[in-house]
Amino acid sequence: MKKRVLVVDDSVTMRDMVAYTMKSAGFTVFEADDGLNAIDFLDKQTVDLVITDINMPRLDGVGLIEKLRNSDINRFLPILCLTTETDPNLKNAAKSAGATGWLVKPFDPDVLVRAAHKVCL
Amino acid sequence: MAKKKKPSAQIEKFRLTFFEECAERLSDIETVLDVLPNADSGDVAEMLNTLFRSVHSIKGGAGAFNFSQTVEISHAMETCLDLLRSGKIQIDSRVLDALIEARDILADTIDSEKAGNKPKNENIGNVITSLLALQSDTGLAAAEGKTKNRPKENVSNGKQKKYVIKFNPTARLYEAANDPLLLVRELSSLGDLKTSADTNLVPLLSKMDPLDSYIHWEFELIGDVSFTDVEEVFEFVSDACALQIEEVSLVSVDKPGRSDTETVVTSEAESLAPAQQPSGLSLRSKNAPPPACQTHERAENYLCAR
Repeated sequence: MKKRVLVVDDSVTMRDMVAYTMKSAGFTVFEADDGLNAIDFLDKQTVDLVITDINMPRLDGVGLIEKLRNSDINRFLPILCLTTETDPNLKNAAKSAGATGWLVKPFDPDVLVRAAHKVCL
Repeated sequence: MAKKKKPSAQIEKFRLTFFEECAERLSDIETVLDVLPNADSGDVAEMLNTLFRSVHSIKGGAGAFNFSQTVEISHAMETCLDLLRSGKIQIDSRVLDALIEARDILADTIDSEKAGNKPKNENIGNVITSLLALQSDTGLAAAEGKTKNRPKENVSNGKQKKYVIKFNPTARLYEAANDPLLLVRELSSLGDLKTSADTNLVPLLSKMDPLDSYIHWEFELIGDVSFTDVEEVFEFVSDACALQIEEVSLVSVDKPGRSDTETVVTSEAESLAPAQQPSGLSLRSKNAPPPACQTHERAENYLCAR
């Protein structure tokens, strides 16, 4: 059965590229353009993995992680941060919120897919 | 071959999407920079966030297509905006002029990239110098320079090495949805792995907290891998475990094949490792420099690997 991944990014270019990479690797891909829309989606559907940007309007990546870790259903959902941010403080904030892993853009598709397999049973 | 053409068409589609997104983001930047000088103090923080996100998105997409000058300008703008957001510099005419000029040069540079022309270096250099001058006022440029000169990591040298790894996960590791099985799977892909689990701390069921962590692990790994390769397996969990990685002397390795001893990694983990990994997998270090390619070949190389 195909693994299901939700890609969350406010940049349509980046969402398209990540979605293409993950579809090519055999995942079923869903998309959301910010943290709040991701939460709305996850209230209705289940996925095996979330790949999220950090800098987004309305609800950013750290906020999204916090909300998911405080939810009953998605508390143990693997969440990979994929961001241009290299700020160690922001990385630590995401880790403290419960991020499963962290990758930096521009991404290498092989590394992204490998990381997805690394955190997705 | 058709397989080769498909990523090119796909890359072109990504490029078009990127340039459309750039036009929207540049328009947003222009609008916000126009109103920022007279904005209510309560609105400034969100305006700076909008500016940052817009520049950040342009930088992220430009990096994928190897538009290095677009990345350089947007990175310098981002740094300046971050200083504003953190209050390390204040909005004044000098800062605003630098940002407005940078926005215009960024637009020109993106137009040049879109038309397939080489962007004009002198304008780019000048605007980056103006933005970096704001950064150097805070003394941050020197600090950033220091971190960029860190020594290179050790790399594999083609010899078999043996590592003993003691790994005691905490409950936090599980709370962040990590799993030791996945780490075992990753380690086993690096060489011959022996795994042992210390279950002495596992309490009676009546006293067990299902969300706590009780099992400690010890691994022996033999493979042609560097210390950094081993360390990277634990990169996502390094602050959610007690971890000790030790390179020990390897007395003799008769053959590089997998050992048949009793403590070899569990059959479940072993069977997962090759099946779940993509073919042509690159083990390039996360800190290794990206491959040098022509414009948008880099993005194509990424996707051709599929």
